[in-house]
Amino acid sequence: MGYASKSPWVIHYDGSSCNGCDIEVLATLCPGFDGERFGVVNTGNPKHADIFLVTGSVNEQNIAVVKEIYDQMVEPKVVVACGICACTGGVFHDCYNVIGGVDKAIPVDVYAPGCAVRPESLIDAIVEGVKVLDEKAAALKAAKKGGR
Amino acid sequence: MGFRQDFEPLALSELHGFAESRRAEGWRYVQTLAVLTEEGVDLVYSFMKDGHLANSVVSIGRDAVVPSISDLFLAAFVFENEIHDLFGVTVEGIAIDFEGSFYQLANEAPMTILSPEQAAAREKARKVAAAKAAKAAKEAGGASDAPAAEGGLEAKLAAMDPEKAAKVRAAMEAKAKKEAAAKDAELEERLKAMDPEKAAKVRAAMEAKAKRAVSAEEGGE
Amino acid sequence: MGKATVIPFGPQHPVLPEPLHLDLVVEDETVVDCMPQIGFVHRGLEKLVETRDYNQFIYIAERICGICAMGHSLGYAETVEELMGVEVPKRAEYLRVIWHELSRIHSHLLWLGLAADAFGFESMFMHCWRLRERILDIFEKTTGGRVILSVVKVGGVARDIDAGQMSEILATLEGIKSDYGALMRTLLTDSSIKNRTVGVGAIGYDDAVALSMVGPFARASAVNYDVRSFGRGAYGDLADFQPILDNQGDCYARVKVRCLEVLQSIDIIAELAAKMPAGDIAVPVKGSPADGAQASNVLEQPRGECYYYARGNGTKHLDRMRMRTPTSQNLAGMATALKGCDLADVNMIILTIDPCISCTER
Repeated sequence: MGYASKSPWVIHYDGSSCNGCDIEVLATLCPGFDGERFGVVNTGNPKHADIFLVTGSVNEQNIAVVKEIYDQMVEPKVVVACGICACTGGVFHDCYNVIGGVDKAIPVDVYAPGCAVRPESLIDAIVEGVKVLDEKAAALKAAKKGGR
Repeated sequence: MGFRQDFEPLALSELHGFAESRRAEGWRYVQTLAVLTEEGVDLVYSFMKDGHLANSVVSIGRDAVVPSISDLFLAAFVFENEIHDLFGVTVEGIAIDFEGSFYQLANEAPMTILSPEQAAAREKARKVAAAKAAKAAKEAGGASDAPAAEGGLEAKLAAMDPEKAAKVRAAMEAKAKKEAAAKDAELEERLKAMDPEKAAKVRAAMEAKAKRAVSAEEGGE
Repeated sequence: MGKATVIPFGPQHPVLPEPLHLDLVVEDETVVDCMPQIGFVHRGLEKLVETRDYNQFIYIAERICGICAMGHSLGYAETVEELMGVEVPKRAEYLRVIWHELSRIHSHLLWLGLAADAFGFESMFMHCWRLRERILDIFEKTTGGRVILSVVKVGGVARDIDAGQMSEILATLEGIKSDYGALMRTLLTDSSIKNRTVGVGAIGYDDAVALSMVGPFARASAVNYDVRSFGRGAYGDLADFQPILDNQGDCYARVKVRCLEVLQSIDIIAELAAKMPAGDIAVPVKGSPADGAQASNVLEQPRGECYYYARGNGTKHLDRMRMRTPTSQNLAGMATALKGCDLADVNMIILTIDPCISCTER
């Protein structure tokens, strides 16, 4: 475990979802499944967050917002697509206003399918994300050393 | 308190006055929606009082201008902005007017875009319904069984899953080809047995008939 | 007179579960005007009736909103049944209402938690959601899903609840009552909560009627309207049903109405479970809606009255399906309540209309 992943702070954004996955994200952090025992804290500030939990199939109006939050986050950062809508568009993939998944707006590191995504899946996805976070942090550190 | 619902037509010119009278009599405004039809757009305005849900259907063309009722019922502004953005209906005088940016969409008036597959499916359903009606009329008049049977088969195919229907059609065509080939073979046998001059005349007549059939098909397309 | 500043609120905000954008025009700390901007969740799913037939569309209808999922599938099924003249067996009606009332309990508990989070009481949020998990366990045991249930179909329901499961459900609900009582006492009598909610965002009866408000939002302003009092379906077999009303019209009243509705729903479920008739849980539905046939339907969802409209065109695909959700009706009320409030109260007022933006925008 690297220093960045001992207590990964998450920021959650609903990218045109039906709210099913959003309430499961919140349920993961509540006493039923207790994500907070892993040090996962839900913050509203992109600058404080390590992991970006996005739900929803992203519509035209939302692309700019999702990109903005992603750009505001500080490296190293990980994006987890929660729910099948965020992975591929889900049942709405052929709707006229839907671009079909978060990876068409920002790069995604971990995909957590499900409709709605189960809290167990989400905890698993966050742990996977933490591994990726460690790799990215190590790469950053190596790049800094190499630069000198 | 019981619940009942009904649908009544309403003319566009009477819309605003009608809404005023509803408000004066204490009806509660429920919603406004738009439906795409062949001729244009149908707007359904709903009001409720004491368990009676009264829906009023206003049929308009695509270019009609609809007066807003948000001066009487402020809650209507949401629906009027929506029907403007999704159906392209012009509504005049909305209290809070987003002027087209209520929803920021990829295409303009997306609910009016009917995909070709959908249009074809609806055409087919209309033909099936017309065929059924014709069949019922014929049976009442006492016609023969053969065209009725075909109409019934068409109806069955139309109601089937398209893939399955395509397979059935292909099977039917193959069967028809086989039958036609068998018929040709039989005719050839008969021609060989016939007088050669007569056989040549028969063949010429058959070719002419075939040519006419092809040109008729092409002309029909 | 202070200088006016425009503060953008949302679409990403820790207190908002859904994207909603408001431009708040603020003078000192008072909100003078507010311009809402929605459209971040518009997926255009009403157009999917063209590619999914009327049986498949129920899965889309459920996913309009994950919180009111059961309600939307129920309203859609009832509308199509009205369109095609299908009569649902009595046992199916009872099962539908039991799941719908459980859905109301889960939705109100969810909302109470979010409302507490909105004024900073995070541990209350955790307690409400902890209780809510027990309802989600019931859903999972009886239908297989926690959030999206997929148990209603056109013609009835897809699964049955046997006697053993029913007694478990009733035992769970009884067990919730004591913990829930403690939460309710805190929410309604604690002085710091009262400071944040009493007198905030008040809407009077006349304004509520003029703005055509629906749901607990309107019942807190003494508007006596609840679709369940029409007595359709299993609601008609209840001994007595009275909508819960309050006449203060402020945030405190809205919290109180929703708290009491949870207890009312628990009583409804207990009463219907005792009276449950035996029989089929579904009837087979054949054919398609007639060309040009229309039907409308209303349903009391946790957020208010939801209106459904369906039109057939002779094929297995509906011509048009439309859901008008309670939050779209209440947007005018929200805009009015926000004018003149303090900046710190904006969160609370937005949350007390129980906004479900994904329902509004479909």
